[in-house]
Amino acid sequence: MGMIFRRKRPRKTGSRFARGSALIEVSMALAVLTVLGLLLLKGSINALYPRQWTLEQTLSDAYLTHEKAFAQRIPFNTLTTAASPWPDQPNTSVVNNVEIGRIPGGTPIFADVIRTRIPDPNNFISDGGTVNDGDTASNPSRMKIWKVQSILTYQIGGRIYVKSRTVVRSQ
Amino acid sequence: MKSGFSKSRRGYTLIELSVAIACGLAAAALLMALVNQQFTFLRIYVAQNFLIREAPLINAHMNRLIGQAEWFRLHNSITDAPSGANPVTAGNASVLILNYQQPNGTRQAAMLAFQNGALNYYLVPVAGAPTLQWAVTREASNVSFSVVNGLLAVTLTGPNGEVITYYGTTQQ
Repeated sequence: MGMIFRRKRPRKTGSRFARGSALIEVSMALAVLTVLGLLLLKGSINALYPRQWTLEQTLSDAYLTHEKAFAQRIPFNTLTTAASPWPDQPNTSVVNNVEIGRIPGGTPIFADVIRTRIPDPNNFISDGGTVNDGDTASNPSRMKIWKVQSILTYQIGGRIYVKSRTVVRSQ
Repeated sequence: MKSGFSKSRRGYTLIELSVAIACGLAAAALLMALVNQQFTFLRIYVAQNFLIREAPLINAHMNRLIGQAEWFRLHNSITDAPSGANPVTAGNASVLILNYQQPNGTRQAAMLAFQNGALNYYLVPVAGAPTLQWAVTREASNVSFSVVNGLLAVTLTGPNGEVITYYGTTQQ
């Protein structure tokens, strides 16, 4: 056995490579690699976190295209009835856990949708405004103007984000 | 009896060798973990590309195409679509016909069809076969069209199972 592990050259007394120095070098290498690994991990997280945020922004923006297009398209009569998807403020319609899309891996992302419609102050009182019915001085054509608002709330990393789209409808 | 080896010429002990091997293995394992971590990071980074880069670009194209159309029609077959045969109103369709009013009063039809892994844009002449113009995207694994609440919904499925749906109306 001794022959197998025998050194080729005898160790000189006082050599700069003392016995056990390799152990210190390897320990230092491990420490450097550990620190490097942690730094790279932190760098990766720093790069991925904003992309994750952007990803959910993309999904929520996409869902809001539905709210905007639906608010533009819904017949005015349906919009202003009691059964409207956008109730007259301060009433709201709340739809919880709407699936707004799926992230890579197929995990669904959910959000809550709050809808309401706000009358223009220049509407007649019967149309939700402040102008007396029949008073044609400030609203001669009896315009009915509503701000149709959809609010989307969702969570990323424990923080709640709120995003809204408002469409003005008139008749 | 005199030993054959002097103190300075003796070999490594088994413990020394074991410690050296263990340290070497630990360093190698750490290095491998580091490389693996970087590959995982790259994989996640690339997997996010469809939703972050490609989907908004597709939506921008679709908004322009759909928003300027007079009307649209859905089909399940690229051969049915130009003639208007077998249109669908429920479920997901793979072919969308769009009709545009031209400045000179004539009409021009166009077709968006998902086929062979690409969302292709065709011009549809009054007579004759549709002619392929360009591909909106080749990165989606599926694209389907449907009607939801009277709106045209375009659902994009990405290569990693991601799903995003854009909605629009004509004549925006």
